[in-house]
Amino acid sequence: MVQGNKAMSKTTESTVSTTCGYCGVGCRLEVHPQDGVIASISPAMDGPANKGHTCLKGRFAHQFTRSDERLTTPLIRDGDGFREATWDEAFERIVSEFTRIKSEHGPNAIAGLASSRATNEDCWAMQRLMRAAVGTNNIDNCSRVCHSPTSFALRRCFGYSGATGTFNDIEAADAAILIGANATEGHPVVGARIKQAAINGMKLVTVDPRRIELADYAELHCSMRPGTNAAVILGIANVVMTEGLTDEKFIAERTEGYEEFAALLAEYPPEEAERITGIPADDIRAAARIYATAENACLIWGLGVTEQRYGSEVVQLMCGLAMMTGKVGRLGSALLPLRGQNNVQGSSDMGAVPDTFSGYRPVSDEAVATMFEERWGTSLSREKGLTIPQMFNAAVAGELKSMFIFGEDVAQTDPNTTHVIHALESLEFLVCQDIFMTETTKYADVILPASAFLEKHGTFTNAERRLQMVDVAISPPGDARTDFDILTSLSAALGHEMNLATPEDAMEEIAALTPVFAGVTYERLGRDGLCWPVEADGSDAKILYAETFANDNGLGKFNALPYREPGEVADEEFPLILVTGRRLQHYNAGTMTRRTKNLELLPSDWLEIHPDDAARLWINEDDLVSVRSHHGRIEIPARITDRIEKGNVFTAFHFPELRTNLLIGDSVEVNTGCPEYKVVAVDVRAMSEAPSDTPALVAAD
Amino acid sequence: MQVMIDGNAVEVEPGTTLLEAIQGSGGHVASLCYDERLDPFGACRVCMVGVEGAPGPLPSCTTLCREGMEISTTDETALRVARAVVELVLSELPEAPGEHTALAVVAKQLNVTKTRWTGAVHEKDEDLRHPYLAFRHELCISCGRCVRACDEVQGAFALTVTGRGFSSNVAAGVDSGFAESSCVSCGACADTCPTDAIVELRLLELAIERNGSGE
Amino acid sequence: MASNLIKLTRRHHPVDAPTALAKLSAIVAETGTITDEDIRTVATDYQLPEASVYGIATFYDDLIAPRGKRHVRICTGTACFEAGDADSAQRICDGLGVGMGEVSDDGSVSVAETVCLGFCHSSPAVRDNDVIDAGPGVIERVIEGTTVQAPEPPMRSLLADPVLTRPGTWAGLRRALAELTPEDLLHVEAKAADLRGRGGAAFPAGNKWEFARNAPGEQKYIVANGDEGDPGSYIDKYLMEQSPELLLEGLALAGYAVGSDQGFVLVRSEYPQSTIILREAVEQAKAENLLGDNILGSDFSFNVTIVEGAGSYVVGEETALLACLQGLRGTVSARPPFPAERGVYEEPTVVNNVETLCNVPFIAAQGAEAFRNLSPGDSAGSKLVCFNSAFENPGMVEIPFGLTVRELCEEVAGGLKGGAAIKAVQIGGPLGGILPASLLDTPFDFAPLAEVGCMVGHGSILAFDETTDMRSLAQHLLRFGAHESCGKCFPCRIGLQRAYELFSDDEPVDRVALEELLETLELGSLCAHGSGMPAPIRSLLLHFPDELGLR
Repeated sequence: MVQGNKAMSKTTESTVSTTCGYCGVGCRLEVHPQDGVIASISPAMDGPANKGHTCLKGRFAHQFTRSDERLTTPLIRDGDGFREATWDEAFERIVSEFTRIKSEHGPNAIAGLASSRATNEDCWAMQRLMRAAVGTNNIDNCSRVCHSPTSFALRRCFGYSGATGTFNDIEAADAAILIGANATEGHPVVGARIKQAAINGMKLVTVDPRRIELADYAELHCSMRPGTNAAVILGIANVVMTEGLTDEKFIAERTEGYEEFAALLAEYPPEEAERITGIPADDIRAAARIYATAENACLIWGLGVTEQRYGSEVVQLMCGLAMMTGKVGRLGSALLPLRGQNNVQGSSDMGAVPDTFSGYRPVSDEAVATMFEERWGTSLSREKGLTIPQMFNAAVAGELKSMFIFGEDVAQTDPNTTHVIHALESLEFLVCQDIFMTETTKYADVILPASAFLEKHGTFTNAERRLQMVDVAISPPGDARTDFDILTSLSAALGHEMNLATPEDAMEEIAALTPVFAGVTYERLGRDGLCWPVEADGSDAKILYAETFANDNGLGKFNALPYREPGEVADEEFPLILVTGRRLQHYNAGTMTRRTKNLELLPSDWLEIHPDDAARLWINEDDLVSVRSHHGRIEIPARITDRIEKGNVFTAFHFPELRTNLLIGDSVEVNTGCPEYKVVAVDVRAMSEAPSDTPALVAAD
Repeated sequence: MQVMIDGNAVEVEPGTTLLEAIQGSGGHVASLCYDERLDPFGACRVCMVGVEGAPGPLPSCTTLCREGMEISTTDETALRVARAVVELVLSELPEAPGEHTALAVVAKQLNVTKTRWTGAVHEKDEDLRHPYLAFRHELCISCGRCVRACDEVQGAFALTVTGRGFSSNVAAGVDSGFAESSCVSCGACADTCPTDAIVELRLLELAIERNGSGE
Repeated sequence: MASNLIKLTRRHHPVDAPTALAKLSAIVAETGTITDEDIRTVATDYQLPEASVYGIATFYDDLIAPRGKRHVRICTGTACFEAGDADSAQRICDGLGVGMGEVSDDGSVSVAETVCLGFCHSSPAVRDNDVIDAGPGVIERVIEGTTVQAPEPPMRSLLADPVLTRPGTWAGLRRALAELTPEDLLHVEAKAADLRGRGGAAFPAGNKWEFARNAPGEQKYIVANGDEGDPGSYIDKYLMEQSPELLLEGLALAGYAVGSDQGFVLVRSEYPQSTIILREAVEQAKAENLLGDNILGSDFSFNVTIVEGAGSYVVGEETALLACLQGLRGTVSARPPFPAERGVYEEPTVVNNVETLCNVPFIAAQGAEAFRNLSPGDSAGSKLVCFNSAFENPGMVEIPFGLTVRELCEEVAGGLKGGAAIKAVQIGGPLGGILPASLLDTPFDFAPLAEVGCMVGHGSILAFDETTDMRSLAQHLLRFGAHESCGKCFPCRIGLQRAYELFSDDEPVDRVALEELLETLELGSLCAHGSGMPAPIRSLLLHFPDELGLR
């Protein structure tokens, strides 16, 4: 009955309902194609996550699909450049190289990267390609570099690797702590939902080194020293404990390990937390009271928590905070990680990770492995494969000879760019499957032209664990093929016929092989999707752990993990801490958004710096500055703002020309290898003061 | 509680508006300022219905159900007011609304084909500075849906109603256009606009192309 | 759309702090105009969205008209229309060498229109900066630059024991705090007194108080509606300026009964003296512990904040009034929610008219029965009425209900000047019907006036003599109606413009179209502005059809 949307749809000839391919919110979209191009996209009024809303990326940033720069034919390296090739030629080349490398160095000399941007079915095909056709568990995906710590921690504490509820918990909550997430820019639709909830009385606490937009709507904003999230949570939990705000019944009946956790908390009174984090002790007390005394409250976090050295430990501490206050397992009391990419959840769920099959079952689990072997008719390795950072290290060390990189621009988005490039250069054979030439494809031997989300069929799984349908609005340009088609065809060429004609066939196989997806069918997904685990009868789970946790004994696990210093700290040479993040108008590597008019809305990036630091360094607004870290140097204009704390600087990573990730080191998360994007010690100088021997714009080495 | 809608008993929760009750029971009332995602506004006065015992027709979007209320969606007086309002709305625009717009749809539903009113119309004032959103102020009927969508759905607070009375309109920022305002380009305003006063630029171009080729 | 904004404004400011609107008014008074930069600065300072501040700045008359060093505002109220020549505004513009709504090139002088300065007893009136001059010769004095403050009107009471035309003594509050519980004050006195709202709607004041008292909410507010915009009325102006203590005492008593410790008076900016005098009276009362904390040693605390409007008639409507009070665009909101449930800053709020509240001290001091006995007829209490300058004895009179309009016009006000015959009177402002001479024997009371399409309204009695052209009067009223429409509801926003246009040229008026339009306004409008504007036009159609140029 909403009349505006009718207006939109009536302008064009047809409408296709699909799921947005940008961030992890999972907006349902109505796509209106005309004459083979996208005329317009509007939000689906019944979208469970977006409820009739979307952001400028999902709605407007679709012209990239018909960019002149789209890859439309396979390319094979020819000297310094590439030559156009047929699919047969390209496949032959891949088959011969993979066969050669396998015979010379074994299957583990080959590794694959699945894309968190691609569908579940694509990721399924990719991991099956690597495991069954190539014969290695060297398969990972880019959730490694964003939310693998979340996945690890939630699984460890609660049992399942996903949000405990849905975004509907936001409106149902009386309070929320938002930590390490600039939701209004990174996840705009959820950001809007949080903002509206805050305006309408939800008590919001924002914890972030920057005074993000949502801080303006918060009851309390806490600016912590980057890398000290653990101490923030420990301090809050200490107050909950000492002020008797715990839910004793919940702790006693539903959890284990609280005593040890409590003993650890005793070491973090608010004053100690203040010393570590820089947040005033009274604010830590206030945050604790807001969270603990609310009838229902959520914990919401983003990459500011995970892309740190101890990210998975912080998430475990948050699980502890939620359990000690009994705020998990009911509407309005949830733990909600804001997943970075559209299918970060799904790509890992599908087993496109080196250590687990779909549904997070270890590759070493004999029963599971046997089941897969029977289904696929081939033997599988029981050994864990390499994570992304391990792949690059192995490539540099000469152990890894070949990579198949599907829909990832690792040379731009991954940390320590110099090292990544070195790794790519070290490979004997690199295959890239993408929709554009990227920084990474520069090093490829074969490039396969693939399809964008508007051009394919399948499912995405959003940050709510919700599988939603993705449908074809337009066809891939030129000779480009859908990813699913490419991967299944290549597998056949490699001698492993998957017998999966369509993505729907893949979903049937996924359901058959994965208990948490047992009841998933396309028909049941319909317009509303399903939140896994999905029982065989099709019933799903919007809220997890209402009665029991999904661990072996059904009890939530407290893990007593002390605060530890981040991998990098400011020192005399590098006195400022660089935090990186997103801007509203662009998305990740910018491959898509920079090929749209979003570039008119935000043509370039800048470095945010506090007025005091700017004054100390003789930096004026818009001055070009040099930012140097242990690992490299970039140049970027400065903008002076008091939204960032003194001592910190901020920029995004959407613009390849700025190469922000040159600055990031190889410090990684302890349990998952997720890079520490969020804490980098840097030195910032005005370029007008450049010395005669200015270091080059590459690695410091 | 129970209300009667066109003679049929309908169960509703306390706090339900007449419009929600009517729509919930499969009925229809035309409206120009209503959007289910937004707080009831009560501006357009097109959603009028008859209520037994009331001195006159009532706006269904802002009137709450009361036990035993007898509501008529075919009340002659209510429909007369609704038609008269739509006729007035058509008279403020310099051109007839596009056929696909909610205004044109509502006018058709109410069988209002033309307006007999002459007099002042909104002056043409087209703003095409934003890469995605066209703003054609002359088509604005001050229903406030865009402003409310911006406030209540997105929370960007980039839009405002300006002026007052017949001169009311809508502006972004300090009448500085979308790009120079706190607009986040989410497009919620264009979604909800019932007249294409705010419309996706690409759709406007397509419509122009189509009309051009149709001639 | 204002609901989210109100939540934002409340978040950052104490309730009695000056609003963004007050700041914009100050800027325009100081610099003559509001620049985009000013809007951005105010938005930053008040933590409001830029667009919202821009919306506010484009709504109010005071903020739109550019100002020179000398800002001349010509009253276009109905009394001044009746008294003035059609070309007096043009004469002022010509004399000062500046166009209407414009500033002279050197910035020295500007001319604008304003609707009712409350000097209807001495029309025509012109405001010259903060001097209001009125009466014969005013045009010349404005042109020469020799304006003088016009005298206040004479005042009388027909009651032996005046309720409203007396200085405040605070006896009601003293008695209430000493002898009455809040419940007693509410039920035994206020509700029993059957005090009806004096602002036009005649809603029982006690019931409003009870709703607000019973509404959930820790903080409650009492708001005095001092936006007496009705052209022809200067009753509340008189009360605010001559008996501010009565109003403050009434507010405090309402606060005591409802359980509120914060009151507001929203005073229209056309009454510059009212704001000054009320602010002084608040300070004085605080000094005497009649307002402030622990009043007279009791547990009851009550503060009053005086807020100034910025030029909008519709702000007299209670939801628009609250929007203005919070510094936002003064547009009307649909009810429910009623202010008694969700008013100022979304808390339960009582909105009473100034005169209504001025009755409360008497009720509190002398009891409900004494109040009911003031008038012989059905209605309780007394009423202030005011007469325009066409009368022999213009000014304000406190009367009991029940006299006929003829008695009021001919005996109390002494008939028209020079013995002229009354052609018609308009009672209770622009939304009131027009009573032809033939119906002057109608009693002045709520029910009898309603029967003949009129209302008590604010209590203004505005006479038209035989020279008044009724088509011009219709045009004058509709011009006012269209100009003051807040623009929220469609019937009023477009319909009043169309109605005005029907009368704005020399063409015959299509009677069928006009009557349909009036019905749409009456039945479709969101507030009394749109639904009330047809009343005088209906009267003219009924009583003076031949003068309207109909077809």
